[in-house]
Amino acid sequence: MRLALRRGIGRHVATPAPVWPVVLLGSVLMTGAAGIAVLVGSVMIPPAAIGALFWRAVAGGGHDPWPATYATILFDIRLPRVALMILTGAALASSGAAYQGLFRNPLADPYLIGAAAGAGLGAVFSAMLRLSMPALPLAAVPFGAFFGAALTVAAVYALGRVGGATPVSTLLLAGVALSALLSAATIYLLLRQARQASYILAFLLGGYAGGGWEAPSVVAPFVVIGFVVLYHCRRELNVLSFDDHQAQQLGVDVGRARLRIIIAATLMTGAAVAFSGLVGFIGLIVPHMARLLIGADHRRLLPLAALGGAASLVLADTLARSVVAPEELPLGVITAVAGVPFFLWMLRRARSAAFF
Amino acid sequence: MDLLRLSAVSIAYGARQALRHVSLDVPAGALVALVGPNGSGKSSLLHAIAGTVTPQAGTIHLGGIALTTLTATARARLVASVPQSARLAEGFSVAEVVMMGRTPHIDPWRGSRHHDAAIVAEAMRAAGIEPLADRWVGQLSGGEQQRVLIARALAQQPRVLLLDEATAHLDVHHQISVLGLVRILAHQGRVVLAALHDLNLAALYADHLVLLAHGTVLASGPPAQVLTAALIEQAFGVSVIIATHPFHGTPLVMLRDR
Repeated sequence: MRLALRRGIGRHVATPAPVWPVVLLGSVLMTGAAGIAVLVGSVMIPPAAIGALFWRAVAGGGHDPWPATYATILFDIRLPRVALMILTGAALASSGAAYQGLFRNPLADPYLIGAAAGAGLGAVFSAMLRLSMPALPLAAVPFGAFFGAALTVAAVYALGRVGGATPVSTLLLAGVALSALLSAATIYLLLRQARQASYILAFLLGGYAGGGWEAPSVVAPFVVIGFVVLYHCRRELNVLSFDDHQAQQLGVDVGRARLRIIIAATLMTGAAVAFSGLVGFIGLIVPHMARLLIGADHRRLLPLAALGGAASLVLADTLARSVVAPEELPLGVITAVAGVPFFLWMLRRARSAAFF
Repeated sequence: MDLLRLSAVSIAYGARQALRHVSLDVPAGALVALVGPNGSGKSSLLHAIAGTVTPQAGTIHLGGIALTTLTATARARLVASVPQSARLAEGFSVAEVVMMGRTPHIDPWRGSRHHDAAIVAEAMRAAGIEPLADRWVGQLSGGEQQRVLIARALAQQPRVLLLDEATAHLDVHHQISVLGLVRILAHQGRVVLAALHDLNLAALYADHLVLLAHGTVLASGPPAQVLTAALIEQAFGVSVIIATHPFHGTPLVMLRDR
């Protein structure tokens, strides 16, 4: 598998492996996960009905042998939810891959450098602002999350700066410390709005209980723009994962590239956290699995992490809403249950291997 | 032919003066070795040329181009560096690492082209690592990794190649094979400046030696002129006997117990 993915088909061996096999694999995974997610739920929709409903939506008219609720469930509940999970999973996993390469730390992810905690505070703050000011559009929430995350990352960066340079170790320590403070502030804000207890829990554990296309369409531009910027920086990420001197000697303006990558990854984290809450482990584990499978070249790692993250979160969300149907488990519970054993296994492996 | 010209270059790290008004001409086509004791300013000189350290004073020109005024990208198209023992990140194949040498040449919106792949293949062939293209860099020996770094530098298609103790961690077999390769690269018409610890290796492979001590150039010339007992004693504070290599006729430095 790994060899086939590396070599591609008919490739001359003395060149880096091509990108397309990885995109193909990721797309198959993501489409498969989305297919399962559309079929499964508290109401099972037979595949034939889904095919017919799609056909009717495109071609129009026709006789309708299925319950009328199927169309509502499919188009107004499941598809938008799958879309949001695709966007969230892609955002968390590709920003996680970028943070790990940039900070040369396999444990760096949106949570470790404080971006997620900042996004959480920003999102909760703007969501509460919307309760008292209903005129505020829904887009205020991801914007609030982005500004929260950006301010936090800027503060972490400033705090981690020692004598003109920003060593990775101080950066991560500053991130952990500031995250603790911001999480405390988030919980305080949430507790003041005691009526919203269910929302608090849903947010802290990760999960999405809304419906409709509004949230995915608000989040999409953030994720797409963020990913385009990250992919644009793929070669800079590659050389930055060596060391700063080598990166500079290979023509990378280290300070600028780092800033651009952090802004893009933070934008994506903010958008992901704004509507899906604090979903852990996707940004940590999906990039790792991708790296184990195809290596660390960001030309290939970023697309596979994005598509794999989308597939994983769609599957986790399907589990979350079907295990105890018609009730829902918080999404963060599923990703934690699946993620923690993997994380521990990774830690044990890390003793023998240098990076993974 | 290119000429790398340093004029009155000074570098200080805080209160410590690493280079004092160093002026030096390095012509293309010859392997020029920088020798001198620890802290004499060899690395600082190479960093100043590569742009990873900014000199407090002085200019560095390649032909008519002032290197210090260039962006990192423009500079990396002209100057490549091979570090002592680079941290080679895990998870990259040899071909992927060598492709990173194309970073300053590739437009990120368009990606790499066929001609980049051809240059990478040629660089791997020149460095003798073509059969390793698909291996993970983390699995290679020290000598092989050093060759990967040389291939990466060659893929930059530089006019100036800098080596900072690039053979320090290698066994004699690999030292000789890497230095032999570097000398060929110099004789092909590049400016090549290599900091070397081992005086005998420098005498054997370099066409021209530059002896640094306390941040200044103590001597510069062919090995036989630079490796004299008096100059070595002055630079390193050790007494030596200079003999002649029975086979190559180059100077041979022998240490004496105090």
